Amino acid sequence: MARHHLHYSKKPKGGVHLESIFLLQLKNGIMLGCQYSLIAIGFSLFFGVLNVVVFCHGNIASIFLFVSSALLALAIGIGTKLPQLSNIFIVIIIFGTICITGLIGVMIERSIIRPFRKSPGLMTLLITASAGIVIEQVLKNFFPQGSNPQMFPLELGTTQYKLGTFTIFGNEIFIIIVTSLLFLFTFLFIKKTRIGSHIEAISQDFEAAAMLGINVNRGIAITFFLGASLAAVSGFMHGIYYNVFRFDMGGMAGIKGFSASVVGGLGSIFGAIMGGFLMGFVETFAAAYIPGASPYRDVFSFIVVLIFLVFRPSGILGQIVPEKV
Amino acid sequence: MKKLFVLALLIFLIIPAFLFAAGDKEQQVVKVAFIAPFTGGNAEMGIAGRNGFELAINEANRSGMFPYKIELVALDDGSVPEQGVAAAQKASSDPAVVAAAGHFNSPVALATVPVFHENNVPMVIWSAIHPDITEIYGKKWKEITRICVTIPLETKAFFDWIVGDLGYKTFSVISDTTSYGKSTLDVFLDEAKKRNVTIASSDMINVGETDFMAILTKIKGLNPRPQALYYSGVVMEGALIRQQMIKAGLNDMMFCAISGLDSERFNEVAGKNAEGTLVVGKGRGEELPKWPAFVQAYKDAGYKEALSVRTAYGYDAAMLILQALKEVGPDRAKLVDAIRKIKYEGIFGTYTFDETGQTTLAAAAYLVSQDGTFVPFEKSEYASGKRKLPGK
Repeated sequence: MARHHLHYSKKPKGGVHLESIFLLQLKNGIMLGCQYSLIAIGFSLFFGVLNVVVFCHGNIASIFLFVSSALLALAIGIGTKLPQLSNIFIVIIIFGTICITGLIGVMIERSIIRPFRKSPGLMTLLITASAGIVIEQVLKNFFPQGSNPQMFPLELGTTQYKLGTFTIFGNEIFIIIVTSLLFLFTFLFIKKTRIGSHIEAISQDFEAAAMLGINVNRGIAITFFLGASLAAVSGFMHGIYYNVFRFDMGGMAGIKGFSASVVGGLGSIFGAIMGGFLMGFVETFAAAYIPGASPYRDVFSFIVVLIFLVFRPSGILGQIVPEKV
Repeated sequence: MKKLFVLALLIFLIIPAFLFAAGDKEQQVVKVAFIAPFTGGNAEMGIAGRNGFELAINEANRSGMFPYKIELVALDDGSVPEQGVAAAQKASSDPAVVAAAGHFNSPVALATVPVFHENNVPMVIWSAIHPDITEIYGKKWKEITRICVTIPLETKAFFDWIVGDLGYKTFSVISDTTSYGKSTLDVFLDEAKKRNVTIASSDMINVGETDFMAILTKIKGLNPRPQALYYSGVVMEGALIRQQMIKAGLNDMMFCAISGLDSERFNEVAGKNAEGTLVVGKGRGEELPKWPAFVQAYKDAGYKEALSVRTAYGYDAAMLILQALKEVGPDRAKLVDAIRKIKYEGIFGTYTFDETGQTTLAAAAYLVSQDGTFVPFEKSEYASGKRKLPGK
């Protein structure tokens, strides 16, 4: 019984048990992981079908946030007169804007990526990086007050649930459930549907798929629609979780998502998910448990990327592809 | 034919010359620059200051007291030092610009001060509070004057109030990594040591980040939990931290800061979670004799932005420059000396400057966020005991 005093015999004053703090930090990491992995899946899908890195992918999430919040502000304004309609309006607007964002993804592929399909990958990288800057500046200059931080007009799930010392908000549960469903949906879509098998065929061998009569352009367009919509959902999660967004956050989101898909193994959906969560956990736990590390949390997550690139360049789940001759 | 040609030439040459001469006499323009963030996270403060500044200049032009037209050159520094320096250079390189005012962010002011010094342009710092601005590199440049209080003065007021009067003794601290955040933190920690205040944890964040849950959850695990969280930084991150404090379950901790958070934008972004936040803000003018007339003038001018205390400081900055301009005329070197020696009766009292260019007029306000707006603490329901501050 000499060690008895080491146990918490009473509830500590103020503070909470270390184990439950760990659980809460785990939850914080999952929240970041959900947002990163939804963007990372897009990077992996695009790389899979076209062997290109689409650097404006993060900015697509900001397009969603700007467009949907403008429409929502409008709908909430109308909703004050038609209260019974406003909820349906909101759902329609969110889904509508996700679809619009998906179509923007398709447009980006059609207009600036397809013409460079036969060019070196460097060209696509450069042109999509420029497109990212264009999107950022358009949002900044053409939206009213675009350069200022924007408020997301929708508040969702502000009730708090308690399980002992563990607390979770409604919107956090919502984010976890929706993200898991989307993971499942994307997986089933690629593995179990006809279009999905076309996409997989294109990513295995572009020319052979075309020769076998697969409509390659349609498959690629659907891939871009899917990837851009997932980025839009990631933006939506950001909106309801933090309530604030800025025109320039797409760039960082893109770099994080890209890094996550590299860590997971470019081309692999599961890899992208795992990479996204790994980045989220590294950032959270570095800030939480390494003294003085909070301003350098991004540095820690990028060190992980560096370590992977040096020691396992194929990523967690990627296979080493033999050079095609 | 030749005669006709000469005549035509004369007409074309002489008439414009007359026109220009006449125009020059009538349209002599003296420019005054105002540099502040009109875009980005601090845009609201910058625009508030510019409106006040512009109001004073428009009044001066209407009054007919100046034999030339005074023109405002409003330049956006976007809270970014490089952009601020570019703006300062643009203003200084225009010979018609005789004086400048502005800057909300200390890092921007610290970067532009040498530009104004080199070009001998008098610069009235309107809202940036880093102590080094008026004593940069240990030099007391005579071009630089400041009409607002400094970090040490505000921090001292903070301790007198929150530690002395209200009795908070244990703090967690978060600061941003800018020179403003760091020096505010240093002054806070020095003062805390002197007053026997316990600092339970200290963390830093970057401006532009949105996720602070990891740090706040860490603070939740501190045992015993500190009574209050002090933030040294500015509005946007402050509001997000306040919002996420509730998300992390720190409902029983008080949130507080100095004037970096003194903006209604904080209440807007943090929403209902802003309730009970304590801030040592810029000195208020509501009780002062010149306030009602200023409010009326602002209303008549028809600005769409609401009037804030920073609008009034912008107005005072302009009036101070205008008074010096009236005394010595549009000459940079003469204005530098005139502003330093000035005794100007502004909205907030009489401005004079010490040998560093810092105003001796000290004004701070004790504010609490109540029902989505900052109200003077002594008039709040927290002071009357109707509502209770967290962490006590």
